[in-house]
Parts: sequence; C-alpha cells; structure tokens
Amino acid sequence: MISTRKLTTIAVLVALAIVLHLFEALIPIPFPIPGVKLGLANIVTLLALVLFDFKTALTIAFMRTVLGSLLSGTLFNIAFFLSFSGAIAATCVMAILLYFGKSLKFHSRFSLLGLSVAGAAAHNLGQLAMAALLIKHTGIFYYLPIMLLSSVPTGILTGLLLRELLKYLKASGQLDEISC
Amino acid sequence: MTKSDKLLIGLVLALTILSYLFYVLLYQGDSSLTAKIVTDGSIFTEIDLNHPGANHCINIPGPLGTSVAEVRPGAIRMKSSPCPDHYCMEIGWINRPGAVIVCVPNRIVIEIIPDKNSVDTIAR
Repeated sequence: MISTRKLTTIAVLVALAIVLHLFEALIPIPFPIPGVKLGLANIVTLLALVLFDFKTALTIAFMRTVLGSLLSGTLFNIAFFLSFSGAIAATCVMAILLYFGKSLKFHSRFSLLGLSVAGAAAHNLGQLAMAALLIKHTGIFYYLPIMLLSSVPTGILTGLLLRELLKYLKASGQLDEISC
Repeated sequence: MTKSDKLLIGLVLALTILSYLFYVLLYQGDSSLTAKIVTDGSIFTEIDLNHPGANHCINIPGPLGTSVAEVRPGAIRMKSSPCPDHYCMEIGWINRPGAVIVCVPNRIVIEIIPDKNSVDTIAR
C-alpha cells in the first residue's frame, strides 16, 4: 500500500513539474524550433526516479503533461502530443540507464548529469518522432542535429540544478522524511 | 562527471555530427533546386526554384486553413500561416537542399530537394 507521505510527495512533485512546465513556456527561445528548450520539468522526473521508482516517475511525467496542457489550454493538440511523447521517452531512457548503471561499479555509473543529458536527448528524439508521425513525413529529422546538440548543454544544466537540489534536501534532512 | 557520462555525452555529440554530415554529404554539390510541398503526407506541388525571375506566392490548404508560401529565386519561405505558434514562419527563407520548413499544426512540409537527376544518382 502506498503511504500517505509518499502520496503527498508525489502530489507535490506533480505540482512542481506542472509549474516548471508552464514557466518554461514563458522563456523566449532563440531558435524557431519548438523542441529546443531547457527541460526544467525533466528535473522533477529524474528526482522521482532517484527518490522512488520508474512507475512513480512515469506517473508524474504523465500527470505533468496532461495537467500542464490542460492548464495552458493545449490539451490533445500538437504541443500536448509532442511534450507527452518527449516526456515518456525521457523517463524510459533515464530509467533504463539508471537501472543499468546499478549493475556497474559505483564510480563508473551514470551521474545525474549523464542521466539528464540522456533524458534531454530522448525527449528531443521522442518529440521529433511524434512530429514525423503527425505530419506523415520524415523531413523534420532535418532538425535532428540541432536538437541533439542542444540536449547536451540543457541536460548538463538541469543535471547540475538537480544535483544542487539533492544536496540541499540531504543537508536539510528532508530527504529521509521524503523517501520513507 | 563520471566516465559513463563522458561516453554518453560523446555519443550524443557523435550522433549530432553524423546526422549533420548525413545532410551535408547527401546533398553535396547540388545547385539546381526544387521545392516540394507535402500536405498530410502526400505531395501537394513541386516548384522549380531556379527561375531567376521567380517571385510569387502559393496558397497551401491545410486542416487549419490556408498557409501561404513565398518563392524567390533559389529560396522559399512560409509567408503566413493559420497555425498558433508560427514556428514555420520564424524559420524564414530556406535555400539549401535538404532544408525543411515544417508546420506540424497545419500538416505542411516544405522541403528543398536537389534536381531530380542528382537524386536518382544518389538513389542508385
């Protein structure tokens, strides 16, 4: 049975992810490509993967895209399908790498930075694949190089932010309360 | 940053370069251009961009309404579009083979393709 504490934490994380999701849409992007963005909401997905498990992270990613689109008025239109497929792809890839990493020695595992970059790349790939499906044309993969390239700095940035967040949570003793 | 991280970032960068090279090499040295307009997965029209005096607009119907593409010698752009975000218009003029303008909401793709003969050469 799911504990009340965990349920509450998940609800807070979903709320946090939705706010980041909406906040990000306000930041102007210097590229005319919908997919190039910071991916701040991915921080929450990765946090959920680290604190809880794949199922919880997937639930949060699902809730975030559905509720986020509902609030921004884009539910079930193009932007929703793009961010939905991106978020699910990112969650799956980060989970695979995280669990695969557990079979490796500690110092050679993927750190939060690596996981975050992989998540960003998977997000962009998932988005492009969904866009190609929607327009029934693969020409959109012309933007693959810039999407992949952008996932490295944005992934590193979100990874660093998450590292600081986890440091803070540990230092303030809140982590033990959350993860039990 | 661990060794695995560096490997992963290296892999992403390698994929970036490979996918970029793919487009550069695939369309290397083509100077004669055709714009192909695809709506909802099927070819709407093909426009020869080589005419030195080319300067006209094309109306493209889509599920949201009519998008307008503007043609110049050797280049094409989306001039107006009924889509909400106008990303397709922000891309501006495209003039290189392989370059695309995509309007996902209105299901339109404008793609610059090299002259038919050189495509066949690659395909063979």
